[in-house]
Amino acid sequence: MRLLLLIAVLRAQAPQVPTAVERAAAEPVPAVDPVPAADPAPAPAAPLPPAPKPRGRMRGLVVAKGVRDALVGVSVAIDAVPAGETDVTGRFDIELDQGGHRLLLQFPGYDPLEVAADVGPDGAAGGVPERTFRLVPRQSGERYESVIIAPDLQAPKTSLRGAEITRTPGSFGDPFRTIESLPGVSQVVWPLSIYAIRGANPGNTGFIVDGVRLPGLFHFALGPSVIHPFFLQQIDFYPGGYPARYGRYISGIVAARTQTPGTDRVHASADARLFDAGGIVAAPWDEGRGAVAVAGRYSYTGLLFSNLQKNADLGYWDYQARAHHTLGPGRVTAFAFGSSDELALNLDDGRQVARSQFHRLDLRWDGVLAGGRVTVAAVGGRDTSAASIKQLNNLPIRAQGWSFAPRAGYLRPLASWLDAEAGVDGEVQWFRPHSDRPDVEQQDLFRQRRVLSGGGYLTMEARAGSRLVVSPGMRVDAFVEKGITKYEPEPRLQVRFRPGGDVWLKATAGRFAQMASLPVSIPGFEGFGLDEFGTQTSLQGSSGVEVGLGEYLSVDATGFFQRLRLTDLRSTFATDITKEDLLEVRDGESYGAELLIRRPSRHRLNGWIAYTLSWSQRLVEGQLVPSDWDQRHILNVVGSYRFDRGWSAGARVHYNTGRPYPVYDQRSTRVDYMRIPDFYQLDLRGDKRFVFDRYVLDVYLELVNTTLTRQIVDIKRTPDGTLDRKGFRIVLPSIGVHAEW
Amino acid sequence: MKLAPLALLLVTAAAVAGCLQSDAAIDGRLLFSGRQIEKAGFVIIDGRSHVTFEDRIAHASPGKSGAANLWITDWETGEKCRLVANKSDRWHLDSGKDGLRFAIKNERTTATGAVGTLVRFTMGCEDFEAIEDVSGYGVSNLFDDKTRAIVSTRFYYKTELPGSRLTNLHLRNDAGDERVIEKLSGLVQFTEPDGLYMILGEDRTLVRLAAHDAPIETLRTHVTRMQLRGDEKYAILGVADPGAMGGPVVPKAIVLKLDDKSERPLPGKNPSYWLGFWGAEFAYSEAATGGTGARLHFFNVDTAADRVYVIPAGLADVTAAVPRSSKHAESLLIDSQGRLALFDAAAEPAVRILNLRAYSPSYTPDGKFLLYVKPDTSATELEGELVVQDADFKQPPRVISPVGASVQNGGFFFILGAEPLVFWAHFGRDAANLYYSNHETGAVRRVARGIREVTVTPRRIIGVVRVSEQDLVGDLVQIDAQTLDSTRLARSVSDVSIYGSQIAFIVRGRLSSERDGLWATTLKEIKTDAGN
Repeated sequence: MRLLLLIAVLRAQAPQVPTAVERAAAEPVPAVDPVPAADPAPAPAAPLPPAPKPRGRMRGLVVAKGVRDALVGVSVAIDAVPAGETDVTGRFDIELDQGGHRLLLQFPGYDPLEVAADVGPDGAAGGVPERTFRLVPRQSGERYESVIIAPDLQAPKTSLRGAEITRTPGSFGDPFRTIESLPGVSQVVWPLSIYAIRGANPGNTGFIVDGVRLPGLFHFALGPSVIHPFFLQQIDFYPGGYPARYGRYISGIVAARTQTPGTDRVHASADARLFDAGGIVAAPWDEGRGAVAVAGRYSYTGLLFSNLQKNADLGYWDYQARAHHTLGPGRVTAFAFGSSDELALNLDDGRQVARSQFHRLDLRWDGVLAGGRVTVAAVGGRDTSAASIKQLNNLPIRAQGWSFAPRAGYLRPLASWLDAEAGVDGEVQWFRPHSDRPDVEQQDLFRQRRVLSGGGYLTMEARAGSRLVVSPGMRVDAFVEKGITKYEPEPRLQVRFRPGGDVWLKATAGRFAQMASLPVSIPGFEGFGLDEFGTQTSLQGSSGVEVGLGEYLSVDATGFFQRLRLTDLRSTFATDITKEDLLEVRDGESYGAELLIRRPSRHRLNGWIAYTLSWSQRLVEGQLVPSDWDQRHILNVVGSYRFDRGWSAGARVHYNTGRPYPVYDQRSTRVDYMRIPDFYQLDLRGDKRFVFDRYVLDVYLELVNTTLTRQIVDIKRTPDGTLDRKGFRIVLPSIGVHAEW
Repeated sequence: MKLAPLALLLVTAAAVAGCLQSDAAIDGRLLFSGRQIEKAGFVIIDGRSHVTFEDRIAHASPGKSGAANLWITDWETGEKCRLVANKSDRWHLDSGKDGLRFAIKNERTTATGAVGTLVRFTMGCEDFEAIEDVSGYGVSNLFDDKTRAIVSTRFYYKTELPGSRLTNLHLRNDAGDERVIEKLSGLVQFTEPDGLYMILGEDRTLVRLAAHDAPIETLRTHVTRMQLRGDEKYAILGVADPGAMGGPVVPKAIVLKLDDKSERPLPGKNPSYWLGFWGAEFAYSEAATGGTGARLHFFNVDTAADRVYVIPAGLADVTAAVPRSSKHAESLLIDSQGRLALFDAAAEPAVRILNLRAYSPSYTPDGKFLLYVKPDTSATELEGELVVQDADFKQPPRVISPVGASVQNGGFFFILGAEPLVFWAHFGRDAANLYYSNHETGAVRRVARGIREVTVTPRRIIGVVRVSEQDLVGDLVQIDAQTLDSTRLARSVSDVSIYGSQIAFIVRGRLSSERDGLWATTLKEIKTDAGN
């Protein structure tokens, strides 16, 4: 197993103040029943041996208060003497003298629990009843954090988990929206969740959940991502130079992992927000050999939206279901998820609708075979998109797509200093588009087609002592469409070197390939244009330094360069996807520097400062010019503070300089490029957690853009020569309740 | 281990190698460098080609129009000079005898409008005359019938009257004599050879001068509109006389006999649209009212005879009439809603309502077919499908534009050739595609995409195509209309002017660069029909 091969680091922090257990270990231990010291005087008579005290048992189950997760490895002390730990089920069973005792339970991240316990005779029938002890999660102060870190030495990434992905101010509690506060990410127009990573197009970034590619990440308008936030455990963000096991995107990768459902009992959570409501239910089955989790969400945005906007209806829903069970030396997992969006406009000439829907079913087996870790999986899916909104598409269009994507991976150590990872993945897609305009069938996007893409990869990871890690990799992707086949070799190299202390120098280089894509991913409209556009490619390089400043801060500074060949929108204003010259192959480059200063979430005051200085350019009409995504400076300061009694507050300050925007003269004969005004915002969030014995309740209020900064989206020159800046000035509130059982 | 830093360096360097560079190559001569160049045009002086262009120095601002410098450059030598500095966009350029040009520069706003300096200048960059504080001007030229050369020029300019919206008119004849006429309040219309009609004073009195130095002859007060018959014997006037006893103004249309100033009202209660003089008759229409159909009048101003045709229900009025051809007596009537009717005075009935609406209905030169744009009611612009219909209305109409495309009002014309119909159609909202079509067979070929400004001949298309909706620039190309072989001459071209095989074009990249400016190139293989 990979986790076993890599250095496992237990980052349980030593408490600043010795715990009772430590004090007990450091000080002389008084005997429970001290034997009197030998009297130097001769004994008048031989003493009788003391009568043995009757023995009894104490049985207990230790769970987290509220969510009732069984806590494994809780330190159990009886009368200040260490007496054992809870087992894998969270239970302990200790034999001790009958009578009164003091029981002390301690576990990192929880307040110690000390209770009096009377131990009586062990009953003949049924034994000693089991008591349940509830440890209160520490809601304030420094948190202990026990994290087994298996550092992925291949690629620089930013990992977010826990509260960072659900409580980051400005993200509406949406894990995927958190990336907009990370270095290298340019948000095209706030608050739309469209992100350009390191100067590439938004459609060049892949979003992957448990190895399954998402055809669309966010619901319409200001909708959340299509995966329930509490279904996710961790998000890894690779702004570039991602590992060879991922492919077919030329920019970054956002890879999310879902939570493994607990196998101890039924867990449930529910949440309600201003815009939607959802929930998760997870239950063990087959005596804990497996578990099933189901999540869903329904939006009543349509109801609210329709009341505010009489001629429009908006709605969405999504679902996720995950089940796993042991099978042989591993585990089989089925993961199904899907999403639906609908926007309807009731116009004078009828009801016009835009609809998007997708479904995925992934079957996966992970296990240990032949000394390595094996993953074999296949995912099938169906996508549908349809739109009859003339202002968007110029004509009614719809598209259906089916896909089947198998994948397999194998990770194995070859020596104590060398690991190897190899795998293959592929995807076959069938598209059935339809339009009411016969001439658009001349375009590949509107032609019925089958697209095959597949790749294989091999990555070696060599470690020279504890100072140097070199990870060369090679990936080859093949793209097949309309009888045309293109092979793309994609070599990768990552080097990390530690000159001393907690300082790592790092560098990555690699080549990446992708089929032509729309600027924003739309289910059913992908896998096209291999003949007309070829493939999109990028040549990426980055280097930087990571410095750990004790347990309190880490600093990561990275410089990057990307040489791009991609399918750009020929015009920013082109919204008609039936236009035959909608896209254009352009060369481009982007470069810049990223800085991330981070204070871990285990501290009362935690968060990060992310700054990006970047240039994004395209070769347009023979001229190297700033791209539509070119934002020179992007700054995010994210901070949260945990107060006592479950209160916490956070804020995010965002600032970005404007991107270029074409401004026409009054006769629309000439265009001048101006920068959209700088944008800044202050987002605030407050949380209060109530911990009850059998459930927890979180209540939060989030206000995004409290500065009421106006987001400019369009600039025009009026007939009198002045500039007319169109935009909006809104505060987005979010009030929610989240409960877990 | 010591090689590790070197490896880091190599990895970084390998990625950074080979930065992109702009491609600066343009096959041509740079005539004038600048980013704000526009309005290129050819001028022939003493048989030599010259190119005029403007170099913008200011956009319009509230209350003030934009301004540009007007330049001229010699095509051969590249020698250039500035014709007018700070020329205002508010007033157009004009030409006069001896190659003199007119323009107004140095605009400044006033309490009632704007004034500037009227300059008369030669194309040799010499100022002939500069007149300060001019609020407008007009030019009338007389042409030689054979050579079409300007043989005499009259012009006027206006100056403001302090504290008044009226102006003084300064009339200059070809000999340079100037006459000032005070309190101009309305139109000024030249008539050949020396006449002038204008409206003066607060009471809007129509007056005329029979000659430059003739006395002012008063014709009619309270005039709002005038249409003059060619022989200057009659004028149709719109007048707004004050009501009796201070009652409301009642607008009406009258026929004014100019020699004795006698007048009679046009027959009908509501002469809404004037179609103009058709020979001796003045044609106009009355709008339909509740229960009464629209009426088409042909009023003989000499005899006072009025032919009236009642339009059947279906047309609200008649705003225009399009003759079918010189061989046909039939005309097409169009109302203000774009609805059509056929009119033939000799037929029975004279007016036949066509159950269709159309933009820019036009007959083919032989009168066999009618082409029109079928209005798209959901579009915000005047546009729709291009339809061809046999002019006898015996066959059903055929849509000739591609499905899903939209042809704008007036977006087609005819040329001589096997595919005489040329039209341009939009898909979506950006630049249009250009099509050649045979309207008889319905065959359609797309010959250029994303056109901006093209010169069309049966054999080739030269101009700016593949225009970016974003940058408003495109590729300057010549396209063989038969093979569709395309030769790109330059990129990022915003404007083009063609004279024979000479092409002047303006390059304007997204970023400022040394390529921006006015360029010249020659199409050696193109014959002179390129400039047709």
